[in-house]
Amino acid sequence: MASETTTQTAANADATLYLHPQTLSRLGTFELRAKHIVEGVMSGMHRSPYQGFSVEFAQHRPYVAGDDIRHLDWKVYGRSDKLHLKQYQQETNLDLVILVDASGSMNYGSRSFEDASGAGHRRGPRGDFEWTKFDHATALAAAMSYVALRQGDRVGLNVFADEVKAMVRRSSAQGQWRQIVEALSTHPVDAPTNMARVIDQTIAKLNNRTLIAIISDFYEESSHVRSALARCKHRGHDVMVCRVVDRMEQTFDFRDTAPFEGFEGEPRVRVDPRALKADYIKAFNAHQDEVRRIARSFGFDDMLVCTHDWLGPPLAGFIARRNAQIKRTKAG
Amino acid sequence: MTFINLGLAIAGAAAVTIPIIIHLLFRRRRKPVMWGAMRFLMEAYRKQRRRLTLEQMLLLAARCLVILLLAMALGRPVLERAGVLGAGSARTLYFLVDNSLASTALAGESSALDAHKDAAAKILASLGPSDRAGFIALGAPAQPVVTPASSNLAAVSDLIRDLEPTDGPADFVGAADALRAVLGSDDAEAPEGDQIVVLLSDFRTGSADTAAPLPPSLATIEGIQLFALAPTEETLGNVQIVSVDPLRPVVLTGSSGAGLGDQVSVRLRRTGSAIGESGVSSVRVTAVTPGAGLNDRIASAQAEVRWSPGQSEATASVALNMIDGEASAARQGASAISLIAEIDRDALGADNVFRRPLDIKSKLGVAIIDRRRFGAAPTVDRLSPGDWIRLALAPTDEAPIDILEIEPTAIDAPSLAGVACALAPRPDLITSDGWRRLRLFVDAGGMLVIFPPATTELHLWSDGFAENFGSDWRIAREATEHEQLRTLAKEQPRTPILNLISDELADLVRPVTISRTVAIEEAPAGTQELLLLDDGSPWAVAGAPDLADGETGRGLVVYVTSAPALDWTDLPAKPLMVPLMQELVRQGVGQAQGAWASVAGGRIATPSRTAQLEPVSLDALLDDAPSLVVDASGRTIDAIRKSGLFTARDERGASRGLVAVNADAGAGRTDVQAPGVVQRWLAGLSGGAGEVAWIDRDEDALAGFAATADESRNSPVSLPLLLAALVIALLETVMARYFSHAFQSAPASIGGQPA
Repeated sequence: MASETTTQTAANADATLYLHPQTLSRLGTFELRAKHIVEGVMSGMHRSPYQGFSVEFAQHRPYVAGDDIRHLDWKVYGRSDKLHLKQYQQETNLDLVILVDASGSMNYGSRSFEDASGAGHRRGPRGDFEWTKFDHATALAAAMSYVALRQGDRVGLNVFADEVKAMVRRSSAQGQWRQIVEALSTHPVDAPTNMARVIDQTIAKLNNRTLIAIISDFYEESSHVRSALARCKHRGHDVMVCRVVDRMEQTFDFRDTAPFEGFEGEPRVRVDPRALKADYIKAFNAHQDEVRRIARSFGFDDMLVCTHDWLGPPLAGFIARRNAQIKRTKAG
Repeated sequence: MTFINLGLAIAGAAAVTIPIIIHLLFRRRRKPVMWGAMRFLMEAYRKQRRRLTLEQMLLLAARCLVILLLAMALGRPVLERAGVLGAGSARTLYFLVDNSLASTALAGESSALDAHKDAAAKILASLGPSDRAGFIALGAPAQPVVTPASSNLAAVSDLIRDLEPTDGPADFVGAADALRAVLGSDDAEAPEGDQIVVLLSDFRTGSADTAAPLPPSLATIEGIQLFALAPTEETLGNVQIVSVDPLRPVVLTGSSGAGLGDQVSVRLRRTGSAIGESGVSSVRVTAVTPGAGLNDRIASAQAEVRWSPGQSEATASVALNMIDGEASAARQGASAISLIAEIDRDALGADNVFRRPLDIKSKLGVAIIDRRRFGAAPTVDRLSPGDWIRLALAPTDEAPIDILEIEPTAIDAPSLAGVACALAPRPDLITSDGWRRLRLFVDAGGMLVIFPPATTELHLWSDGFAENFGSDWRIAREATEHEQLRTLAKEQPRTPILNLISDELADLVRPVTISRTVAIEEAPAGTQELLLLDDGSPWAVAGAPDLADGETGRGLVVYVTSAPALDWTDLPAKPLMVPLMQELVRQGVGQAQGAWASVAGGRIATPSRTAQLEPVSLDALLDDAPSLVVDASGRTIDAIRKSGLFTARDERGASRGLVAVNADAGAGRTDVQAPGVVQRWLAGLSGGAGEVAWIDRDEDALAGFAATADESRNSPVSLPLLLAALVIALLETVMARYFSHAFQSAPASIGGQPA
């Protein structure tokens, strides 16, 4: 019993870390809106693609035999002697499934945990000193799920590497966020990413259109990424691609020759980082560009999240751009 | 290359491992960087791996090289073009200086020996106080002048400077043996430091006979280094006198013998570059008496030899009128004269003169070993072989031959002492002691002529003869009766003994018939066949007795297979008898006594009973030379290296004749030899294990040959090495900077941010 209490205390502490006040204060001014209006079972602020009879008028259509006469617009009939039905746009709830990459490569971080979290801890929840990409991904996932749940959306979570390691079913129930946070309190594993397999496992359990947020470094063959996103597109799901990288991975700003060893069983190589910097950055950028191009080719949103940046600005910017795009869609 | 501070050099060389160790240690101590984006790093690494490895190796090599160069600079090395001269510690140099005849070759004003002396002086001057030097003169026989090596380098230098040329060949074998005695014997004190042998020679064919391989005398000596002056490339032409052969080696001054020995053959040879040219050599032959000055010539004559291109040998025949001279010499009581042949001066001086003693006798003493005849003179048909021989030798009273009769059973030394030739028509009567004394007589330069006894059926005397004169002589024990009379072959061999009658020999032998012979079944090697039977078998042979050590000594043994009796052959009654006996005795005696003209470079054989050799004053170089002592074997105790003329004297001071020592014609060949040939030849000294290193003949190479000697002197190579280390260090800095890629800028866009 004592140990369970300790674990629970740690989980609470983790939750506060993920919802850093600075982060949440920035997010509070925006609403999370989906790119597409998805079908929801709960009322909310999200627009549904299905035209129904609700409070907000959408359009008229001619009456055909069999239609419910309760929706006849008698005012039109009185003015034009024609029978038309009033149609309303139905407001629905958003289904959000967050996929968090826990593969070995997500275990890298060059920023101190204290600096990144602002929590005054000298060690992270897993006892490490660095704020890893996985820490950043879990913080982002927690923030997104918190905002979504506050809007009444159903939120689910999959933590994956080469397969789904932990899963929280979609729900908007009270306490769902707590379950999500607990599921996020795991460790990255040494295994590499197998995104296609994870996507298959995820979408197999989705029976409606869902917003899927993939938070990963996408250190996988671009062809595999393309295959995974294509399946989502085929099933009509919307996808938010959140590429998590560390600043050091972007700049490769090492000076001394040292052996480099991978988290996913790659062989140790002794390299002079300054000699390889140009070629490394070239390869890194090429991969990032390829992933971004793939995501956009499917019409999905893509954002780069750096561990050295606060979660708020990129997430808020993303939401702002999404809102603007939705409004343009409505206007069009 | 060598080092003054060898320890520092070794320590510095060992320090080369420091960068390697640092490199390896740093590899181990680096904490690995756990990295997420390994796929991109591996991609870049695969692209750059080969180049980066090369860069690292270059850097490591440059760092090692810097340390190595610094170490070498601290070690204060001395570089030599010729090779390595020892270490910084004490060294022992042995100079083998060629002072043979070929080293006297004049190149301009100075000789090759002078150049060798200069080279030795320069090398010695560059040695240090801890070094030692020895010196062996190569002129045969090799003379260890300073052995073992001395630390008194100045004295060694003086001795080399005073080295006189010899007229013999270079004795590399003897010098190597002397070196082995000093350096390689267990008893010898082990010399410290390096053992260096420096050969100073031009390696002309006269000095270095590369056709004769050198024994591996130095093969067992550890750590010996062989250096030599590079063989000369300067071609020199040389004309030399190889031999002087008078027509009569013994001059008989009797009335009928005078005037016969007036022909002298002088054989000349050209070597070196002279062979390819045409030319004329003037040959002068002078007859002088010992003790007289050069102006007191008995006779003198001159001839010319015209050389055609490619001709290497020629013989000049000089007609020397000695009739008056012989008479003059006889009046002075001289027992010998010397012919001195001279040619024009050329590159080598010593072989332009050749001395050849001639015996002067008023009458030639000849003994006939036969039973004395008592009573009245027999008729012709009853003449014994001894009688026929006596008649042939002294056909008239004026014949310059004194005949002494010796009883076969009473042969003794005093009776043989006065004769030069003994003829034995009755060998069957000679006792074993008589045979032994005859052998001593022959060994002393006497001539023995043996005929088979005419009255004996079984010839057992041949056992005693073979017992004393060598088992190689085998004579049949029974006479062969020829049913059909044999004749002498029409074509007879041309031999020196019968040379004077060789032209008339065919006519002289034609009427001679032979009915009985005691054949010679086996003769020693080198035996001359004087006359042949018509079937080609020898009828008369001449040979020198075999010595115990296999050499052929002086003296001459002639065997005639038929007794000079009419029932054996009609020779005594034919015209051939007299000239045959006369030539046999007169020329044979000359051949038996030998020329007493040796070549310089060894212990000289002397006439019998000689106790010492006294230099003749006509050789200016030997004016003050002491007399040379002769040992019991008849040879001088000390070797004679210079040519000259000597008077042989017995213990009572009486003259035993003249002995001439001439320059070795073989040692005077001036042909140059290819360095590769000489190198292979010299490698034989070490058994082919090591090669000789050549020393350049220029001033710098000689002066720098042992430049490490003075330890207080700065190494001439240290500064360049330091500069080289500095340059490499700068280069390493540039390379390290370049290979660090610190100046390379990252791509403009970072981390796949949207442009």
